[in-house]
Amino acid sequence: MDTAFIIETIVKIVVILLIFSALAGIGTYFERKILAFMQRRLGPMYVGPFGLLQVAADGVKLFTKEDIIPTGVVAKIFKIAPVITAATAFMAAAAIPFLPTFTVFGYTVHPIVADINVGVLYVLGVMAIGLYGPLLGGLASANKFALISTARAASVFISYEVITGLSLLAPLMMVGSFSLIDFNNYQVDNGWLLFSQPLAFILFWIAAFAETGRTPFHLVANDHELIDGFGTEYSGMRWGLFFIGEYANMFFISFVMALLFCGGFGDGSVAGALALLGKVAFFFFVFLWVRAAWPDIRPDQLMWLCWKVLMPLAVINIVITGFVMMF
Amino acid sequence: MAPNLVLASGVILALVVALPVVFHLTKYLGAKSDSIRKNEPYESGIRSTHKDASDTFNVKFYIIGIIFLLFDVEILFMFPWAINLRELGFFGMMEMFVFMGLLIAGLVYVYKSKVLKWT
Repeated sequence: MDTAFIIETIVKIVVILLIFSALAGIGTYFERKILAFMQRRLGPMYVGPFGLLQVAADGVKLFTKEDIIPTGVVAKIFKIAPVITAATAFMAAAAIPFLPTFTVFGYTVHPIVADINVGVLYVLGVMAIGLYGPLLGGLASANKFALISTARAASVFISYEVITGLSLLAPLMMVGSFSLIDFNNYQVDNGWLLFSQPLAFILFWIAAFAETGRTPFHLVANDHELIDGFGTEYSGMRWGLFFIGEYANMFFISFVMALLFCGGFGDGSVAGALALLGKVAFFFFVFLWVRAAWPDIRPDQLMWLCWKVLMPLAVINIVITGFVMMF
Repeated sequence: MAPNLVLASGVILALVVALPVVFHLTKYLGAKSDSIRKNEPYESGIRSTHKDASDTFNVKFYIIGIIFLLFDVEILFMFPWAINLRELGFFGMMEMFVFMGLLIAGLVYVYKSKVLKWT
């Protein structure tokens, strides 16, 4: 490894870290604004123009809030849990191509940290490790709400892992590669996988809501039952890390969905790059839209949906795809 | 292994693990207070009934964990098969479908044994 390569990699990952930490904050602003407009309210509007500086105010609050370690917690595990959530979210970003390759001042930039040939597996695998954040955080706090939330988080995340894997098998059979760049190039030649694999796309989308813990499956920290779930005992920046991890995961899963099913950045032109960002913005908006439009479902309904509806559908989809490919 | 992947993951891990230093700095910013009641676990305003960090909970969560383990390992077997499907041809596909039949049989057994019923 030469020095230029090391510096390039470090610069790339730090840029990704900074951009998506900032986006997590701006994402909360948009979430509050969009939810407010859908409920005929105004949302944040006093701090700065259109309430835009609310993000900065929240940041200052998070950093200056006292870091409380309550009595009865297992301190070491309690401290490391939010770090796991944030770290795994950003590690997953290392294998995602955020933009097509472009040239600035004669220097070619690859906006992907590591173009590995098992990109899809790596992204989903590292995101799955993120489960340890809520799991350890809830088990370490001496709080019954956190404990219930942890049990639910574990059951939801692992159940929908199975759906993610099964729904991805059919597109993988068609493309024949794990690399996200290969997925993108396949769709340039053969049209979007969204149209040839609609069922897989819908299953993956539903699983994405569960994996990021968004509203119809927001049982992990269902506010009226469980206060803030595994985050109840956390304060200040420790809670902030859980938060940044969750929003970064939402952005990354939106990127993965756009790349896997919706054509990605196409042929790599400027229009293609803008189209990718547009698709990601759309998926992020749908996360918020569903939160405004849908009630939470019960944990038993969640398990029913996963094991008795989505899983047979995913298996049927694989069988049909296999036979169509062979004949 | 891709060296840049390892490097990038290492940098992220180092940055995030270095964050506790920032937490220590927040001690000197903002207001502070200390009392026995303040540091108690949150319990809607009453004294905590729950002293220990670990407690028992419904065994169904454990069973779901076991089911997940079985099915996820089977799906991991199917990933290499999926990307090589064109080379494996019809026979290779049917072999995996037989394996998936066993998976479905297991799923039917899970339904029949009513572990997914939450009453």
